[in-house]
Amino acid sequence: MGLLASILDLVGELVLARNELRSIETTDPALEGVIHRINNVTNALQATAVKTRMQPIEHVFSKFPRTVRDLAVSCGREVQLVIDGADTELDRTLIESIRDPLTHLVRNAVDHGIEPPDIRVSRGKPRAGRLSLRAFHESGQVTIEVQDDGAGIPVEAVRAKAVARGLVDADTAAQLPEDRILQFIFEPGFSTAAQVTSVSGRGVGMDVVKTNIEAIGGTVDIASRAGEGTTVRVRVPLTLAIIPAIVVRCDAERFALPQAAVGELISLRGDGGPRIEGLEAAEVIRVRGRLVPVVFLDEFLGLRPRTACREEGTVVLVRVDDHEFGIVVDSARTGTPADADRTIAEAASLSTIVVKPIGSLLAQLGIYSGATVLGDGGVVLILDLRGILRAARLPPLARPDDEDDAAAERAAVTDSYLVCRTNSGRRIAVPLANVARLERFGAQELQPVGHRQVVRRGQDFTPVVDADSILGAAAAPAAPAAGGGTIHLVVLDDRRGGVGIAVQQILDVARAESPLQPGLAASGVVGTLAVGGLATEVLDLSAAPFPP
Amino acid sequence: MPTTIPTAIRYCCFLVGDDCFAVVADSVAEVLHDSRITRVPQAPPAVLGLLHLRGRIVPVIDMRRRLGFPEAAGAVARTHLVLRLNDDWYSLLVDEMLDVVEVPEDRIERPSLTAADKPTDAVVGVYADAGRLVHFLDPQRIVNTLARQREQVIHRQGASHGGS
Repeated sequence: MGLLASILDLVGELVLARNELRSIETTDPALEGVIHRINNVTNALQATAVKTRMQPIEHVFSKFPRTVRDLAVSCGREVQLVIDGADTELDRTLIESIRDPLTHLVRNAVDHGIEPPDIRVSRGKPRAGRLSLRAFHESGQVTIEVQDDGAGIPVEAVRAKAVARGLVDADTAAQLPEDRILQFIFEPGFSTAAQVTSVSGRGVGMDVVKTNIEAIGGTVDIASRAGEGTTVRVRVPLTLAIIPAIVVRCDAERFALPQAAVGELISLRGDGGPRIEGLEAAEVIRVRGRLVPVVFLDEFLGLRPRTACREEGTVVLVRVDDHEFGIVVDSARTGTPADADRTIAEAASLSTIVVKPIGSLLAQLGIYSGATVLGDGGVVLILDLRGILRAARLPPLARPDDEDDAAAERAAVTDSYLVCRTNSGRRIAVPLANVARLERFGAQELQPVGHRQVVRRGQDFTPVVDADSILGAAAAPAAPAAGGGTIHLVVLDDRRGGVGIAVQQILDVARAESPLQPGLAASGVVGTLAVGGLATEVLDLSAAPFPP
Repeated sequence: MPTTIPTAIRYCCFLVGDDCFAVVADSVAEVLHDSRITRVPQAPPAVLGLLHLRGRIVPVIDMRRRLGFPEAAGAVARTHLVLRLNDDWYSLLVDEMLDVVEVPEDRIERPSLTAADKPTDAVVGVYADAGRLVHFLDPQRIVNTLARQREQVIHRQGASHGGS
């Protein structure tokens, strides 16, 4: 075992040396030929070395038949265990890391999921519960499914518990859909088991399972149907050590990102091409019709104040789990001197880096997943995208894959909203799909034209309507009372006459967490839904362009 | 009754500011000079950055900052003491390497430990020797306190909540 570890370390060193070699410019054909050969051999050696680290998940699954049998006996259950894909391979270090979480999930399924035989029979189910463990490869990851055909997770009990713990208020909780409620199970200390059994221990399990899986770069999802069963899906990366990466430059520092997470590079040139929009609460960039939130890396890391690269720079679009966001940097190199506008698919080659640990002291900052040494000998930190997403607290916006989703109900739940506060203090939401842009200006720029008010931008006039007047609030000022204040304008798209809705403050951009409830409609309001954890009124835009 | 010979442990002594400090020699893997350090944004102030040592990435702790000394005046050539603590490696950036001494355990005075928020909390013993006072450092304590510090609260851009 020690020998193999040494070999793998040396292969890592060879990859770094090969990178250095590749960065040497030469016109000597003999040297070029040798460099080429060393490159090929190193690639092949690396691929082979990676394979030696792989072990079948059988090493973890092999103990489960015994575990399940013993557990079933002590809990008074009858369980039939089905294992599929035990030959699925993953990195040996990851295998150890998933052993405990998987064991906990299996115990949960037997102890809390599957019902006692008599109850099962009374429900028309077979006496023996079915517990299925399935592992398979899927788009560069290993997916492990733990599925039982038991009673399912009691959603209402979870809902009540979430309210009781103050995680959400009762009104919003009532509107949240099931899959959102199930997420509460991952909160620390959350347990709806009426009794804490000695078998599964306290319900502290699920949050620990999630933390442990996420620590190795994986994800956990849970789905359940009342009376039918529960499925927990764990996804972990295949291997960690050697990955293709993109190196970005920000304020004279360099950072690396895993290429697998990067979708596209967008060049900001301030010439009418793509630009960053929005103010305060949410900065976004419009990508083929959808809005994606962005993080300014220089500001996020405290390198320099953000304004420096506001108009110029490069946006690196990344995808982490189901979140898409952009990281604004100065420039990005994909390994070839490529035009920053090119998508990754067009880039000829990428830097392959060896991920090295940075030690627990710095790893706990949560924003770096390691470091590497580049071909020129420079040490470069690798950004932990999940950690950045968490720390920057970016809102989820429309998923890229949802563009052709037609179901209205689903659209209502996955649509994103701009949450604002009106001048009278009311909290409202505007569907993001109807928003063309956000603007801010001083109240003194507001000009009366006939019955209306407009704000002028060069040759363009944008009609301004106060949000409160749409809501029918009496005596709503079209500008903050203390004239000379700042007006935030939510400018609607052309179909709605390009009207700007004046609000006091733009609070957030967030995804709807519940279907629209029209029952609570009031004047100027289409309905109510949960956004950003709170019940929020959705502004009725059907009358736009609004009458004066 | 057999006489017990007091155990003597070897310590590496070094200078930080005007004071002499020491760590157990066994924990010192290497001594380096003038290595290139890469900054780590958002790291605790005493962590200067990372250095690359034969394939290993090692965080560098500036001992002047860590022990509460003022910044060195002018450019001073400094020395890295690379320590290995279990599986973690750290480099202590000090002003000057001194010597290696062997000190009998019973000659080390153990003052009551300072509260963890003081820069000198890592000092676990002192020893008067040949006109100088040697302060013994516990490397784990050097690191533990840093783990509790954050240079800056990482917050969402534009929305400052008073942090940083």
